[in-house]
Formats: sequence, structure tokens, C-alpha cells
Amino acid sequence: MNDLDLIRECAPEAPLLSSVELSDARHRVQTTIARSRAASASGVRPPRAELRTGTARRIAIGGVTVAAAAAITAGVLAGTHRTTPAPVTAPTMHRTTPAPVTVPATLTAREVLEHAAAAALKEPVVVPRDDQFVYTKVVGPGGVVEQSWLSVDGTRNGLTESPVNGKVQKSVLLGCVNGERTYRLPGINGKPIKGGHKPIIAKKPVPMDGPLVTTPCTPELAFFPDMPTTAAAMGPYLERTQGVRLNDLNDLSKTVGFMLESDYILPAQRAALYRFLATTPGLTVDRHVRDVSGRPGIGVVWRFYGSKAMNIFDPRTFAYLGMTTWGEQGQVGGAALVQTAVVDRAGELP
Amino acid sequence: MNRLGLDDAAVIEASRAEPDRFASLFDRHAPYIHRYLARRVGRQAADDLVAETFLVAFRKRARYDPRFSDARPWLYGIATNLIAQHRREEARQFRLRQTAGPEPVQHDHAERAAQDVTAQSIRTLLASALAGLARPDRDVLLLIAWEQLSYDEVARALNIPVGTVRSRLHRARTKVRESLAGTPAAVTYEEILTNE
Repeated sequence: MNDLDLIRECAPEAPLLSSVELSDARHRVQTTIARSRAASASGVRPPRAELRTGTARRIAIGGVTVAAAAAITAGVLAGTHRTTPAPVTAPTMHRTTPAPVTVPATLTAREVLEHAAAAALKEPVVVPRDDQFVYTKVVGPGGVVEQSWLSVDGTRNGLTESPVNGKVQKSVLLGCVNGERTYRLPGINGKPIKGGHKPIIAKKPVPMDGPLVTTPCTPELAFFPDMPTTAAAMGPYLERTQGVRLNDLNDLSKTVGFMLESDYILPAQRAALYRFLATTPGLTVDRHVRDVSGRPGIGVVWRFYGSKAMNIFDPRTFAYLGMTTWGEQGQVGGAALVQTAVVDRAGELP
Repeated sequence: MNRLGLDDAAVIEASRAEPDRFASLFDRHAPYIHRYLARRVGRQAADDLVAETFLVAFRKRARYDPRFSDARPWLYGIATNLIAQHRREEARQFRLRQTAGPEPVQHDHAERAAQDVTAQSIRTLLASALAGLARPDRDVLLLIAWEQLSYDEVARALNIPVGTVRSRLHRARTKVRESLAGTPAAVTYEEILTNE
């Protein structure tokens, strides 16, 4: 016996549960999967915390099922929390006044990120209001265009639009109002589906017109007023608010990419984000790459068991272009950020 | 392989078009993932987190590396990440295991004292030692000792190089030994170790 055997023998007693004992957990998994499929079939998408692994940590344990249900019924409840703010000039973050930068042929990751930080700091500073929406347009693999309007303070109903079978599907993302999110359970005419307590294995979309329920929630911000503007403060901030494991380059880099793709980050905040990332060892540069939409770029690359991924920057302006991930078979995923802006209404184009 | 003859990678791939297929992964792996969670954060939290583990996995399935036919290390990694968000529960489990305390020691009869150190005492002292480890080191140690994952599997689970697995394991084992040194359990512990 070695010490590992001893530790194993002294492991806390915990039995392997039977399928009956695990049936509640299985029910929850199966129901959420069924709802996900139903949502997809009906064109109502789960909130981005459901869709994006990078932001999954933002939701509380136990909130996943609730969040999915909230999204499914969002179309029914599309509310009007919006006030009527005065029109503002919608600023675009990454595509404005690209100023070409002359750089040497060889760059380190730190230098690329420093150029990106310097470029960010030249952009105009526009602070969004709580009642506005962050608009993003991204292109996914296969040229699929997805647009989203996320509530700045997370309390208004957001919106996503993406093509499904050749048609644009709109999905409402319910806001969290006064710490509560209201939605309907599966059912018809306010009543639950008969046998609805059993796992839902429907072959067609589940009707989502059951009883109205309210659950506690925490607003998901699309703009972070307290995000620091110095690299030194960025690590603790990401750890605290995003749950980033700072010693995990894959976790850190993808979180940064996800935030840039879907949230509104002020120029000084973005510069600090790049400069903090630049201090992380392990990043390399791929000088000539293309983003998902085919635009040429410079990749800031990291590797994780057998795969690699990169955040891509414009080779002339150092604007953020998006992220790609690679497996042995080549590029396996990613998204190209086309535009970020702040608008007054969900659905409004900048 | 599952009942349909598909390995995990094939099930995950199939679930991208037919999401319901993913549930079969639960049937195969949930008892082990639940046991691991229960050992670390207690039964109550484990009941919630086992479902959470599979829901996170479902969301991440498009990124599953199909070269690996067994998804269990991947699921352990997701569960470990969730445990990291439940440090309070894990700390509570360690506290509960330490409340029994070691058996009283008769210093003038060291030999007898060693025999008196019961398995419960060793468990108590080990809990204390494990609680004192840095989380990344503890993750590696427990995945190897409790769950019997290989170095490669732990590397996959935690998304770290195998060399890092080795160094964390070495550091964890050294600290556990140091924590037990000089305690009543030390004699028994050393006897067990030399009695292979």
C-alpha cells in the first residue's frame, strides 16, 4: 500500500447511487435538454448564459433550468420595461476610424496586445445608459450572421436574431427586474401539461403557456461600470466577477474573447484587458491568419491539450476581429465580430 | 460503449443533431461523478451539482474532442470546476470530518498508542491535511487517489500539461506527509507505507 492507496481507503464514504436515486438529477438534465431543443425548434433561444460556455459561470447553481424556461417563454412575455430615452448617437466600438499602424514584420504576443491597447485608447469614449442595449453583429462558421441586443444593466428584455433553416429567428432574452424574472412553465392555457412532472421527450416543440412563475435572478450586465482601467487591477476583477482561473490560459483568453464579442467595454477598460492578457505567459503569435469571415489578421495564440485557439486582431488597425479554435482537422469553431454599438431599443440597428 | 454500441464521442457527436441522445451519457457516468462530488462537497450539494455538471457538458459538447472515446475525465474536469465555485461547501465537509478529532494518545506507550490510532483518526487527520492543500494540488491528488484517473486523464480533465499533473501531485503528497508527521497517525501511517 502506498500513500495514495491510504488516501483512497480513507476517502469519505459515498455510495455509487442507483439510477432510481439519480432520477431527479436525470430528470432535470433531460428536461433542460428537451427545452433547449424545443426552444431551438420554436426559434426562442436560451439566454446567452446558456449558449456561451464562457459566460456560463455567471449564472448561479440551480439557475440553469430556470434560465432556460425563462427564455422559452420569453416570446410570450416580451414586455416593455424600456423607457423612452432621448436619442443618442450610437457609437461603434471596433469599426470606427481605423487608423493604420506601421509595425515590424515580427511581433510578440505582448507587442500585438500593446498595439491593440494603444488603438483602443484612441477610440471615442461613450458611456452607455442603463436603459440602452449593446448591439453586436457576429459571423459564425459557415457565414451565419447573428445579431444580439443585450440590456446594458441586464434588467430589460434583450433580443437575438439568427437564421434557422433560411429564416431569421428572433429570440427574446428576459431581463431581470427587481431581482425577479417571470416566465411560464410548459403547459396550455395557464395549466401545466398533463404528466408534465415526467421527463419531457417530445417530438415537437413543447407548448410554453403553462402557469406563470417568478424566480429570483441576478441581472446579467452587458456593460461593466466597475471594470478597472489598469492591467494590475484586471486579474482580481476577472477572477471575482467572471470566475476566471487566472493560471488557466485557455479560460482567461476565451473569457476575454467572449466579453469582447458580446459586451460593451470602454476603450480604457479594453486597453487594460489587453495589457493584463499581455502579462500572461504562454501566448504566441501567428502573423498571418484569417478570422471566421475570411478577414486577414494577426492571431494571439494559446494551446490546450492538442488544440489551439486564438484571438485575432486586424493587422493594420489592431481592432479585435474575433476568435477561432482549431483541432487536428483544422478550424473547428469561432466567431468574427463585425460590429459593436450602443442603441436605444432592442432590434434597432446602429 | 453504451447500450446502442456508441462510445461517448459518438454519442456527443450524435447529440449535436439529436440533443436527447446526450442523456445516455448521464446513465453511464452520473454515479461516479456524483460520488466524486459527494466526497468533496457533501451529498446535498452533490445532488445539485451532478445535474449541473451534465448541463455544462451539454452546453460545451460542440467543443468535445472526438479523439477521446471516454468522456468521464472531461466530466470530472467540469465537476472539479464547479467544486471550485463551492469552496464553502468543501471547507464544511473538511470541518465535519475533523470534528471527531484523533484518539487520545498515551505518550508513555508509543507502540500501543500507534495501535490505538484508529482508521477514523487517520481519516480525521487526512481531512485536515487535504484541507490545507492548495486547491489545484488537491484537485490533482483527489482525482488520482479517489477517482483513480491516470496522469493523462487528469491532464485532460483539468486542461493542464501532464508535467503539471506530476508536479502538483508530488507537491500534494509531500505536504500530506508533512502534515501527518509528528501526529499520532504518523506511526501507523509510516507502518502502512512500509508494509507494502
